[in-house]
Amino acid sequence: MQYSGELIRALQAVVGTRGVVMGDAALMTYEADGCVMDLHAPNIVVLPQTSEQTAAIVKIAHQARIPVVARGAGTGLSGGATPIHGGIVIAMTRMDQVLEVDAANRRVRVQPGVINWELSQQLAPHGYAFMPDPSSQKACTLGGNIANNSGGPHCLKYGMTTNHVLALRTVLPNGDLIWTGNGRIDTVGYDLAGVMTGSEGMFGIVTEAWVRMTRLPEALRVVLALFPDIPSASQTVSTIIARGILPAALEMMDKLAIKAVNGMYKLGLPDSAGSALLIEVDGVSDGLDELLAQVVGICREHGAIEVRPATTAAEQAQVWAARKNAFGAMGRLSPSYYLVDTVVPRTKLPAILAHVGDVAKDFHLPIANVFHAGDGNLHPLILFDRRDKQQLERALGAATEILKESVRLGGVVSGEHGIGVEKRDYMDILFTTADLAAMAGLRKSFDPLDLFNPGKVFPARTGCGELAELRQNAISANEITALPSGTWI
Amino acid sequence: MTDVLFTILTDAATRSAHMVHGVLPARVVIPTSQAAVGAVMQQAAQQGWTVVPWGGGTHQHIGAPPTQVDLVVSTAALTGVLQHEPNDLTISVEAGMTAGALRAYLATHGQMIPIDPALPDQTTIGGMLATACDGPRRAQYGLLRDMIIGIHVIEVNGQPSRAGGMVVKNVSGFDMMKLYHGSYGTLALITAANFKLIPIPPARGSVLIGCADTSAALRIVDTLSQSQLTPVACELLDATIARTVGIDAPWVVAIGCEGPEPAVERHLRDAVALAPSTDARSMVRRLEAHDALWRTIADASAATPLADGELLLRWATIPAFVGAVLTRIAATGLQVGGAPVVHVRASVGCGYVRLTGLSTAQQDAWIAALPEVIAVATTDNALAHYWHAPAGGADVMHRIKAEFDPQERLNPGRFVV
Repeated sequence: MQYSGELIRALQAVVGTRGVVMGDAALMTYEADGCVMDLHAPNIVVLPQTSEQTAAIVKIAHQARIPVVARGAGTGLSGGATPIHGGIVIAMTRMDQVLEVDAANRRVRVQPGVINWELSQQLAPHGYAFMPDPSSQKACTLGGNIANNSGGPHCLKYGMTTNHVLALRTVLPNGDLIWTGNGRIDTVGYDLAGVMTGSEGMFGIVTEAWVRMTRLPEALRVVLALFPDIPSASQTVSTIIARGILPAALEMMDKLAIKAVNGMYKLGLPDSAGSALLIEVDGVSDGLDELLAQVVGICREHGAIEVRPATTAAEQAQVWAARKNAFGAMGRLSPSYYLVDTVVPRTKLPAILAHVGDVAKDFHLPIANVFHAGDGNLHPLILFDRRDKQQLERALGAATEILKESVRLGGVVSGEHGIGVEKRDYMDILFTTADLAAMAGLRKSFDPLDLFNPGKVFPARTGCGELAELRQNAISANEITALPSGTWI
Repeated sequence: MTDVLFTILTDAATRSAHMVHGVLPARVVIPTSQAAVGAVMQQAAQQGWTVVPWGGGTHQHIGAPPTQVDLVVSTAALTGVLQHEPNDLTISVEAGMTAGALRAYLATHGQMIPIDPALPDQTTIGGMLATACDGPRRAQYGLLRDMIIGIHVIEVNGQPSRAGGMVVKNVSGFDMMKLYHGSYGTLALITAANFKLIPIPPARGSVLIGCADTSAALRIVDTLSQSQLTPVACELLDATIARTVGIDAPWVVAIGCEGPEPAVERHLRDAVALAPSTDARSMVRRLEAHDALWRTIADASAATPLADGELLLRWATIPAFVGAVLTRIAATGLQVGGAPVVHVRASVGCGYVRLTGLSTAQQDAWIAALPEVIAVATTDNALAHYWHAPAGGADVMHRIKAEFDPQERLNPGRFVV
């Protein structure tokens, strides 16, 4: 049998008995990540401590044709770490060392289980940081960041994880262990580190990474601007961007979100505020106050009712904590929430937010908004009670409406949380069969047997294997792909 | 019956104008729409033709000569802006638009894509993507790899497909942009690409510091890199290139800055202070003088077309090893010859060396002496190796190639894969 005693002994020989987790109760911990829509427990969990052990585990799984799902901290929100076809979960949490801080070359070599926040804490005394800063940064791991090409507030200026990955040591689905490069971005051949970043564990398992560390800015300024409503704040965002100012972060909260964080973080924000913008500018200190004054001027131009500078480090930490923990604060308002991640062109923010308001009314569910306004990256939080089946249905329906409208406005279906299982059935409202088939072809080059994180990213009705086959047949016949009707937009 | 989407050109003049690394193509097509490219590629597939994609032709000497060229598909007529959303800071352009035309177009909107290839009036967006082309400002902004947000390609069988979108942040689907970037036309033909834009900063300026030797120059680069200054470019020029920018010194560190005026002035002040006190030959260049300086530097290795016996090597390492590579270049110059002319994107750790008067054996010797070489441009058709082996993952690369171009009809024989 696939999960025979022999298999278990082989895995134990690699990682020791304490490195192999079995038993229903223990496995239940691994049945989902932060997305709890589709649960499925793995058959076995293995916890390697080295790259070589990881490769040996994958070799065993490959030989037995068992699916493998890599897992970091399990903070993902799209079900990327959920083993929907069972199999082996390889939990990377024991590989949590920062291996080498190479300040001379502004790079750092890490294991995948290093926690995002802890990396930046370790780099701070050297005057550096790892810039991508997801809201889950106090728990999420670098391996997960790389798998999902994670973002965060500061990605507005500093780019996503992919802009900070230099080279990856990776176990491929056949068990081969490779380095994609020598720790610099220019390499000979295809850009494997580039395509692996954001591949949601479907191309390889990262066991080590060279990532960029960025010099901390000499100075920064933070302001919190309050507006009477959402359109005025959205217009402010558009104007700031259009006037050529590139803030380090440009975050928005709506009335409901303000209410949630206000209570928890004692921000003392007035109830009359309909929206708040958190704006950070950074750089050399020269000219920074003028830049801030310009930003404040734009806020006032658009009817800001109050502009509060956060001048001390403590004040800045307080407003940032309120922003980054806003999702957690929703617990004060509702037993459950469904966080939708979507992106529209920045000028479409007022339109999509108006639509989100309509959806809230239509589906009779409150929706809070806390999001990366500068990028056009929305995070509507649909508040509901999971125990109520009807409410769950309505929450899913509301999410679908919002995603469809995003695409209609020229946006996409995920900005930073990934597709996983959550969004896979939205992929064909965004892409044609041919677009998806090309992605399936790339996936097949890495994983011909469909063993690494199977069932993710591609629509359930037309899976990766089918798409790849369709494409390969067309290429062999020197014809273009026969397209199932109704999938083009 | 149907509209004629393209014309196959077989006249001698057109064919010889599209000579690929010494190989005369049997035919040339210059399609006028993305759909026409699809139709051309479909016909090529049915005929089993090998295809070489052609942008401005400025990078066609990179890599090995193609084994066979049945068809050159030129993007020269795909020069349109497909969609520009100034207030979203995004643009979609056809692959045949030149870097210079795009720069001029965006400048009228006060915007830019901050990459400065050599020969911008010939180099196309598609060519820059296919060759992972860089420019001095990669020190701050990276490569097109970091600016591209969407891509349209025609696959080997004529199938159009795309990835990404017109938003600045997107993880919907795999990052196909990175697959095609730097794939040297071996996987698909790029017909259009979308980019995020950056507003042209209000002020700009640069500092040139003359140095007596490489270690003095590299100390300046290192101090600058460890500081909280954020110059957009930091280029190390050897004496030959230094002369073209009007400085007589063994080495020059050229530092470029952009941003709000007070920030730029601060950068210039601090950069001037980096000049070694014993040899304080620093010069500040502003506005048009700054622009002219960086145009010259961008063209430094490519101002004239490669002649026979010339070799242009693009190399990359990590910043700390730049000194060692420069030492090896100097030693190889003495041993093998070639009169190396060098410039380095010093804070990034990569650079170019151009060599002249070399036999095939001498060119081979140069490539062997520099394992850091990531691309070789030459007119020589008989080198032993045009690429070093990939650092890792060669098997996967071959599987990717087999998946995207199983009959090896796209740029056959030219790339490492």
